[in-house]
Amino acid sequence: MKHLTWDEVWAYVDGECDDAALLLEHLQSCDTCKDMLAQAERTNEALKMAFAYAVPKTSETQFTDLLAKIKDSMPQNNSSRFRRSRKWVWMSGAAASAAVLALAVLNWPAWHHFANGHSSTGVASSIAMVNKSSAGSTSSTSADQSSGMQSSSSDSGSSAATLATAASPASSTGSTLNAMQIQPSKQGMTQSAQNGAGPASVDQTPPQQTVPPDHNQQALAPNQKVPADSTTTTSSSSMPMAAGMITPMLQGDVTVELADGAGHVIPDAHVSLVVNGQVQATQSTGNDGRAVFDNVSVLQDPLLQGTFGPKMPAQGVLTVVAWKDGYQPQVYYGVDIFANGTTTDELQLTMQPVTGDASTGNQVGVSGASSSNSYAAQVWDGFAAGAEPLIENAVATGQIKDIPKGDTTLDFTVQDESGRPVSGADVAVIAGGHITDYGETSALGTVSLRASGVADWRTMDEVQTASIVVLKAGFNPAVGFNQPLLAGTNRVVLVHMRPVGTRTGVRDDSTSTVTRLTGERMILPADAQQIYALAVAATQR
Amino acid sequence: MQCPDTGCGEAICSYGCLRQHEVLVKNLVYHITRNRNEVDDLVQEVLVKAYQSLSSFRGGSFRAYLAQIARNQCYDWLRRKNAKRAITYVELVSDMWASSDAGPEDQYIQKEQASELMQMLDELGDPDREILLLRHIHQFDYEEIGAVLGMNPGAVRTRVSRARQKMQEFMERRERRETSHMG
Repeated sequence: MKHLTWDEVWAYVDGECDDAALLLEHLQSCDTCKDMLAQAERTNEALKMAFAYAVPKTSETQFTDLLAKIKDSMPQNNSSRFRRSRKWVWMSGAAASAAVLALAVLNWPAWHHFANGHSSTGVASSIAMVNKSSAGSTSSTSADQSSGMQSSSSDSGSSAATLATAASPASSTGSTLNAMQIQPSKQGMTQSAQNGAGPASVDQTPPQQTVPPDHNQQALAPNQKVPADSTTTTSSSSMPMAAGMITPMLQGDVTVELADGAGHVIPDAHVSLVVNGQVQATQSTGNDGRAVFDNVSVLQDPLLQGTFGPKMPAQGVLTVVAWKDGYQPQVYYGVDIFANGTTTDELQLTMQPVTGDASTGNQVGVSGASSSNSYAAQVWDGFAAGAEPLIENAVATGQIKDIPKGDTTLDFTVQDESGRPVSGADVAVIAGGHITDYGETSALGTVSLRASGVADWRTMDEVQTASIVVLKAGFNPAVGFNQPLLAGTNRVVLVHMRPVGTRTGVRDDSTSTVTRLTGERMILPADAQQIYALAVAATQR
Repeated sequence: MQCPDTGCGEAICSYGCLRQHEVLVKNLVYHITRNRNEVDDLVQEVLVKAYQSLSSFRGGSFRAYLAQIARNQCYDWLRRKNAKRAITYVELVSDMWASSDAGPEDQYIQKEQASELMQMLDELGDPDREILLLRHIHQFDYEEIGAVLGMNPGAVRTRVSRARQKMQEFMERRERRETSHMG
């Protein structure tokens, strides 16, 4: 093959190469053309950086004003023609179940201030955990299965519980932007957003954002103080965190209500709220089946912290432990509390009654949420959309160069569906709202990173985990949460990216397209056993 | 298309996400006028005008339609104000670091880097800069750029190629300069 022309090199950089495989084959053996490609890629990057410099940012207030002005100026205001609600089916319907456990999060002060301009006013939320008694059998929930969390399949006499959260909209600003106003579902396991997305656009090639974003909602840099109007912080965590990491906490009041399937409340059951491996509070349910917790601090998810775009508000992470003689103890991971309080979660928790077999009676039931179905897809997409400006900003400002190297080596190979290398892909490891290492794939689609993570909030051990995101224009982003980073080890990560013809940036596609990376650290029954033991021990003290 | 950043579902998003369009328009306005104070007003004018005259949109690429309006609006504004863009990109960013928290050495390095990048943009002429902005930042295809600039796609392709060459020459000069400093 002759040397490449500049047009061919640029076509490759632009992702418009007719025969990338042939070109790459040539590049393997031709230093001249390899240099040309490297030069074109450097030029491309320099251009991106140059254009991104100095462009003034738009505040959310400005954007909201702009939206209002445009709406006012529309020739015919027929927005309802385009309006549609978006529905997510969260879970399969509750199986025959035994007891009803209702947990309500009330008057949740949304302290966290977001760049989307929503004021942080009090929010009323409620969570209902339902556990209906049944003589029949139940099956594990879809959430349990897909999250990899082990949930005991039932046999005769088993029971299931449903945990549902219902947060009323924090519509204090009246803005229609960024506020997913979610209505509590009346029946079934659905969530709906009033402000659904519009129909398909005629514009098939939307722009890639390069203006330096407003990072008010982004991660706090190490040593950066939390703004007074932001979240409260705590240093009471019992688990190790990345150096310099500030872990925002959301605070609120929690009410847990337990009832059986017939609606009979369950008194004298223990309910503990565990945050970051530390028991925040334990209460017994009263005669009304309720346990009331005031001023509970909920850890903002350390893996998602500071990385969501404006689409997703900050998310608190709460583990609920519930136990009572005659019931299998339950550990429920990942009660998600959104700071804006505008979401409704409906989750299921399977509880096994003790059948007399001590070995099963002591086995802790494990369940969790937020890692399955369309909700999870939305989380992944929100993460990818938030990671993009985080990376852009870090690259543009040179912060990337200052990242201290971590203990874990991650050797990435990024390929397209046909196994061809994807060059120029952004690969970032993110934990605690910080990029812990970043690199761009070579012409061979490889990059090696040395990253660090944060302690897995779900467990009592000190295994570090982090999130990984791989971005490349023209491909769906790839995202992996809870990726274990074991100190002193090498891990090979093979990423297959699916191309999307019309997608040129991360933020311009729907929520269902993010590719989920494998290798997520799963929660084991032993982990739940430890959390349960922690809760019991705290009660006995 | 959905409006992935906001999920707002507004009618105006039926042509794509307004936030994304705003970024495009803002980039264009800023890089054409180089007037930080007027950017927001002009962006607003462009978007309001675009949505007011939606009936004249004949299909095709909505963002190209928007970019065309933005471009016309900017040049109109420059004419109206009889404004001369005497200010260079280098001057434009010279005060960017005044309030930076970075240490003096970091500030110096960042400023140098920014100045070099801005100098690069200064060296490109207006059309080339606009073309590269649309192509590299917003991934416009040649046809879309042609629609914005009133050129045929073939001519755009040639122009893009030439502008890139100019950029590469600039970068080569810069690298040679750095090498000679080091040597």
